[in-house]
Amino acid sequence: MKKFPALILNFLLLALPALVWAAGPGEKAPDMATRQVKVEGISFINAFFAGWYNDNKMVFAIIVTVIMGLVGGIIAFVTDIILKFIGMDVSKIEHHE
Amino acid sequence: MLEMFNVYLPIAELHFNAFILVAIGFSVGVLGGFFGVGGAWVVTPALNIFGFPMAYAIGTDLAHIFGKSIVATAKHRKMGNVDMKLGFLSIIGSVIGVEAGAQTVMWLTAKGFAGPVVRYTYMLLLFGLGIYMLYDYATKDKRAAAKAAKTANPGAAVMAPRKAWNLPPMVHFPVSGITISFWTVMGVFFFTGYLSGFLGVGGGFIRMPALIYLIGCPTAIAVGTDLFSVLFSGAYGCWTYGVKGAVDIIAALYMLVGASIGAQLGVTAVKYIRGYGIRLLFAIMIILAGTSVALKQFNLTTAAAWLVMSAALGMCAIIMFKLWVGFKKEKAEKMGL
Repeated sequence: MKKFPALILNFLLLALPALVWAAGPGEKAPDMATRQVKVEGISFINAFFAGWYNDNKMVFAIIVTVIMGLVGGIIAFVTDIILKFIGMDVSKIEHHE
Repeated sequence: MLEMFNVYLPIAELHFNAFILVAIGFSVGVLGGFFGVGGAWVVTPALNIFGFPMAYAIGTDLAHIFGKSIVATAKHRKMGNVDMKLGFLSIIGSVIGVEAGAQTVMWLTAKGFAGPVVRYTYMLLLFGLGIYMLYDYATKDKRAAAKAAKTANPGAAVMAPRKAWNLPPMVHFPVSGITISFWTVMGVFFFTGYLSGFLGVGGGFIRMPALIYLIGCPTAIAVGTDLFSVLFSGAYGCWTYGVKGAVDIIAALYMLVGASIGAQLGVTAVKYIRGYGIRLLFAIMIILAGTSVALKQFNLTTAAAWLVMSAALGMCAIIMFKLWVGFKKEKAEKMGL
């Protein structure tokens, strides 16, 4: 393992050309704060999200955050029951390295 | 044939394959639950290769990370892997650090060299961490033997201080089983938060090794506690990108379904793989991620995206295989009793 520092140095030197190339310009993101999306001709759920997106981005953000949290919680609960059913239950574990 | 899974995404205003969204979510869910990371560095390029607009990839990714981290943290908590006290301190330290990191980026941007400095740091960090963790794994037996020799012959061993910097107040973390200076903990989280704000990433891949190597957490607790922090940063990311109009909620929900199932399996796999095994797989994963970033700098964007996607799928397959083997073994042992 004495050769390890030399190995790291070699690895970093090999990566150097990539690091030099790293100095490229960044991408520009389009301005989406004022963007409006289509509401007509889409399903009720899609229209609900699109409507709030167009009307008020703050409310849209709250809806998104709450729904993601709720759905996450529900899925955690349901999959836990399924895993328990197939015998893949987990309880406190021993921490062994 | 897969066209039957096409769905309309109202915010991105395009038709996209729901199967791909669930599959990406699933594989990143497994990795997230297993390694305690959000996985934005895998999802964003993966979505992009399949034609999802980059502008929405980050926001949609963060939204699904929030939902997924709830699933994974809940399960880790059940397994006793979440050190809440450490987790809350990590949030406080990280928030201050992220702000300081973001301010540094602003300063560098004003000077005109933010891009290269950030990218150099990112790659060095990924490669450096990965190589260090591989080294740590490779020398673990030697260190264990040395420790055993010291225990067998305590007179010969020179007693070294357990923690070099014991500035009071000292804080005890019963879940992790460590007592450490409050300033060390805050310093570490400030540093990881700073890097996170500086690099513009969630920071899970920095915090997880920091919890192991700098704070001294057992690996499984580092994974669980890191996910607890990811939960909060994910919630904030989901909200702030929502305000900016960059989240496609339908895409995020499809990904969340896949990710939640994947995360459950990923967390369960932690039970069957020893701490050092997790560290080894994590080291390989971040070296591959670093290689992908390097490829991107050579303008090989497609190759970079495919590499990170293949690495994620490969790692996911290994974790699932280990989970299955461990599960079968446990079942056989139970039957034998």
